[in-house]
Amino acid sequence: MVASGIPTATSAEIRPVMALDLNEVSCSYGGTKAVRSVSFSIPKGAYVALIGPNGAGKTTLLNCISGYNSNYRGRVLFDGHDISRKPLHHVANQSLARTFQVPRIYRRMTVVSNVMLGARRQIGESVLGAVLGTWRKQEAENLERAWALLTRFGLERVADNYGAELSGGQERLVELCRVLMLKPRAILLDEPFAGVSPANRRRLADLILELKSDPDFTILMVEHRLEWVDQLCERTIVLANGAVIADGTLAELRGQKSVIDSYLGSTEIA
Amino acid sequence: MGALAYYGFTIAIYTCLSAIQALGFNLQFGFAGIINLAYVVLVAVGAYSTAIAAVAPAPHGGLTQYIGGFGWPFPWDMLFGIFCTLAFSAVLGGLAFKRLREDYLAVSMIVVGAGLLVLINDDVPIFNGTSGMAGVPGPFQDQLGPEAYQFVFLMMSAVSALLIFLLFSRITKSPFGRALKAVREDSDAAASLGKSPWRLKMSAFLLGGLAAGLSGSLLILYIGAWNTSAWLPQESLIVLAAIIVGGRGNHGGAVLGTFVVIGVITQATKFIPSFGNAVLVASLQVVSIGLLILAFMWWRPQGLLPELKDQYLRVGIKKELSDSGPALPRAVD
Repeated sequence: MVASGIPTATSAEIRPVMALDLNEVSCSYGGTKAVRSVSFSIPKGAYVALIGPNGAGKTTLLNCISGYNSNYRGRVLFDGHDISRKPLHHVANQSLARTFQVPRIYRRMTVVSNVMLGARRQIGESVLGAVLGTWRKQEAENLERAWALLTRFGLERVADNYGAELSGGQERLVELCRVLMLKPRAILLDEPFAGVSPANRRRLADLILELKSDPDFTILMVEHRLEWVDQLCERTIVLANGAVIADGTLAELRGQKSVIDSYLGSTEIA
Repeated sequence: MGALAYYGFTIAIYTCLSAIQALGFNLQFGFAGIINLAYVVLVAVGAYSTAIAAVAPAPHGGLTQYIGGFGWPFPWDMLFGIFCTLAFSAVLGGLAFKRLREDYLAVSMIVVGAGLLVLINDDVPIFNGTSGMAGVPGPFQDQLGPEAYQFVFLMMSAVSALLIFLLFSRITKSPFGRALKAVREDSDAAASLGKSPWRLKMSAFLLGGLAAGLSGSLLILYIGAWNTSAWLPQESLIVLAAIIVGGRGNHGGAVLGTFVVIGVITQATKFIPSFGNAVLVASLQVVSIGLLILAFMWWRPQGLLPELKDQYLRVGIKKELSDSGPALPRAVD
């Protein structure tokens, strides 16, 4: 854009290119250092895997980024905004959503209610909106979206079941549907394939790849199943003892001794 | 009016006002999961503040002492009582929900209730100590005969209970009710979906405070007097029992529970002939309420009327969906 003969940056040019920017993030539980000075950046549109042995600090790091844990040092930027130590709901409303290692499904609510909860800025979620009853049209639109997501995962048959009636794999799928209702710009996935049946794993992977149609959509995924990491993520970060020990493509990392010693082992079959 | 008719009116009015309390407590505890064991304190705030708004100033140098004494007529005294309860709820909830979770909150509320009880008992100039407030004029009491007054007050109490029932039903059938339940079940998961647990709990706490203030205000207007014996910790236990028996998270359950516990059981136990030492029968009434809670928790934890299954989908959504094109999914119809 040229105004008064002086070239200025367009809004597209000044938009931050990094989706996530971690700077010296450290977190301790009592005397145990779970995350040690972790720094990395993830550009917009990147699908990145976070791997490492059990107890490496992967979930703790996701907890720090998402605001689930605010007791950490360091700085976290999302889309150029400082979200360090911001509460969980604030981070979610910035369009950075997350799933949990153990799906946190509402067991005494129906599947469709679980998914509907994901919709953001619902008019009927305020007392005034609820009293005035102006929420019904928006609710119908949200119900359509929820139904489309449930159908996508073949969950329409259990839509009216209670969350407690779902299998472990179904719980994980419902949790992902719920997160997608948020219309996030980035998702932190904590072991999304754990406990999911082979057919649903394929569905899940296809959906995750489909999300790439938005060039800015970003994923940071903790996952132990390297075949899915290989298929979905162009970059992998390895965490061991709370610190980043390697960062690159999975193919590159497979040859690194530190990664083999701490995580892959000599008999790794991917 | 005969003694029996007077007794009947009194019980009916008490049941209506207790139903308002139960509906408010159910919104806090049944829907939002707030274990507010100081709920009766909110009722007391409504009662005391209505009293100081309604009565004349305390005579200077007399034995009776209290703050305020504005001499406001009905309904300004009642509205003042409700406003004060909302303000008190906002301060209490604002402090409590920032830091405390479930069981810690419950313990803190017991402490708040016990502390305030001691304060009001011992600091006479606030609300006249253990003697409490008296001589609070009822609405239109000087213009109506005793029978008409009983009838009018019963109608007022019943309409108030009905309005609170309708208001809370409307609110909880909306996405607000769904979000409240989400916070009750797992507040971290709700927060991960962008819901602010603090905002939702505060909203439920204030709505519960509104019901408590209204109930407390009407109670003192009916009784005409109020002291610390009216808001002992076991009063909260009775409201809790009504919710457990009727059904947590169900407004109809709260009303039914009130009828069973307050209208029937607490009244029936009053007819137990006196035996043993002087306070034994009174103590047995409290014990019977405790046993009732235990029995329901053990054999029927969902209460007489269990929580409804996602009613909001059935209210108005069908029409919206059929208007906007796609058919309502059969599974949720």
